[in-house]
Amino acid sequence: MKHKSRARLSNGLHYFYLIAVCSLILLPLAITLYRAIVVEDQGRLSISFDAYKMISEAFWDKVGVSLSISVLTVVIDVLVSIPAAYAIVKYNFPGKRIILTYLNGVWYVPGISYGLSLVLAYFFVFKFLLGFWGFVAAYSTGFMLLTLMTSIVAFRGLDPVYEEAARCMGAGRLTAFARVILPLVGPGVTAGVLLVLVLSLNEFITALLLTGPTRISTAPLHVFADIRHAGIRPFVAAEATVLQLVSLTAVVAYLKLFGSRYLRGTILI
Amino acid sequence: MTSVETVHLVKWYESTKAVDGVDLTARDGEFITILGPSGCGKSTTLRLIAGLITPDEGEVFFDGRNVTDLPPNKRNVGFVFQRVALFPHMSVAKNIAFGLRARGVPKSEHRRRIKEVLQLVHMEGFEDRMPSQLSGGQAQRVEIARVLAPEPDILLFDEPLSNIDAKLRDELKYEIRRIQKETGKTMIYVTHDQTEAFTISDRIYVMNNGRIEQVGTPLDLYTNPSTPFVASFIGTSNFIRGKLRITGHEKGLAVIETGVAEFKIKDYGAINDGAEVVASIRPEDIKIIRPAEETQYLNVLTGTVEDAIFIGNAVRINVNINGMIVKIDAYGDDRFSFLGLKGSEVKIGFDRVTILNL
Repeated sequence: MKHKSRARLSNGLHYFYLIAVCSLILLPLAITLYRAIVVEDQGRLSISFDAYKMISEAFWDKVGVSLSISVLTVVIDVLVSIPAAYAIVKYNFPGKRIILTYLNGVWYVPGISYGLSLVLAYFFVFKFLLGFWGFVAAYSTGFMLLTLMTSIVAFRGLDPVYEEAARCMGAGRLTAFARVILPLVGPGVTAGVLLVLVLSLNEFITALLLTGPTRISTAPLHVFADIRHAGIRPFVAAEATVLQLVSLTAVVAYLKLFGSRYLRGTILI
Repeated sequence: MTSVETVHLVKWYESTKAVDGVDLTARDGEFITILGPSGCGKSTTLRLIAGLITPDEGEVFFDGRNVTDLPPNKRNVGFVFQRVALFPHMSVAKNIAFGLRARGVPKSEHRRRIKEVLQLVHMEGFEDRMPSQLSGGQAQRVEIARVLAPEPDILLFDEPLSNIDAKLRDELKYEIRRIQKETGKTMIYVTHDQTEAFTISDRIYVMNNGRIEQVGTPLDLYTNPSTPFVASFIGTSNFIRGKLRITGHEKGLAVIETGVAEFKIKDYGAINDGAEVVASIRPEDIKIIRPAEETQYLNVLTGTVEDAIFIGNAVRINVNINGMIVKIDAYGDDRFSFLGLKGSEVKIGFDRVTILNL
């Protein structure tokens, strides 16, 4: 009896801990939503979606721009990173250790420094790719490490015996890669894709630096501008919740399309 | 059916010579085994034959055709790996169909071929299972089926049973031999397990330190090991080292003088009088004898039983002869009577002494 109640208490504590952690993560999002939809009128609280009607047309345009930039960034990063990661893991070549050290080192460079480096390199040194594609190029470079490093980890974890088996059964390099290796490194690649998708959609520092030379503004920059000019008013909170919803929808859409094989067990699949 | 020949294969891994001039031949439909301890270069040799790695020197021929520079997908070999290599994201049927598709077998034939190979390995009805739903033995059977499906010319096995429990291993080795006999395919099998090699092979290549030590049928290797390594790796041996003295009393008879005892030997070959030799005597060739039996044996020695140990199907008796321990394995019905001999003086008798190449 005593043992049972102790086990129940232990389970309760574990559950409480999990709820507390989830609450900490969700609290800022919940408060933003509260600010957007809860209206106080003569001391009485009511729910209203008027704040969403006040969102300008320009914001929605920028959501479209942000989404396009994110999707293109993900596509470019995946296309470049996967073969590169495969080559880095599979082949030994002079300078491999130095390259890996450099790639890991970039993680520790502050975002503002890295963003500034991208702006200087792309627009003031090379003086090319201004506009939308310049933005995409800079984002792709900036976020490529995420897909590259997660792919390297995924390839390292993959037993080479699968590729060897495929080759011995008559598959060429490309077939073995496409039909055996790629599906097996899926979870690792998925982690990188999701990171790039969400982070590029909501990136602020690099976007702020790029907006000058490219004359492109993104949704997070628009929200920032609104905060500066109007303060944290309900329509600004509504814009912020829209960004959250777009991120979540993009993640769910990706998981639905590509992730079901690897991420079974999550509530999203 | 296809023959395989390797000519002076050499493979370096940094400063280590993993394979050192291996010449090997597997005739059409022959089952050969490369037997050796871990790290002796046997798996590397197999991978060189498959084309998974390229040799630093030497050549590989299939039916007299040089395939050294061909990638593995152009060699038409089947390779069964030590670790089960079934693709975890494909069902059993899709795993088998992979090779069929890669080799350009028409899709209309896939179903029939999948059924055939699954029947061959007694795994009918498992088509829709995922690899994670199979036991170790089932997975290895499917692996063999998958390799057989595209009808490769040569089948290569890299210690396929080493991760399987003893009972199943025993069953599967006979299965592999049966499949070889039914399909008539040339097979090269790599193992460190001499019992496995003896059970299934037509011929065995014993390998050590990247080199082939001896080639022969299982019986040849056991009864006439040519080097100390083969004699110690295959079965158990008593080694004696001494000077060969040709007595002249009887034609073809010589004596190995060890300083401890003299060992009479017939068939010492072309070895000169006075040469230093190493010879082996198998423990099961030595008997504990009664005085009346002394005349039946070429060699009769007297010693004291150090200990007698029950080792399952035999009793191992260690006899001390002037400080030299001689191992004897007793297999007869009376073997248990030797368990109580510790400390007793006994006479031992034996005929076969094999001189080894140094």
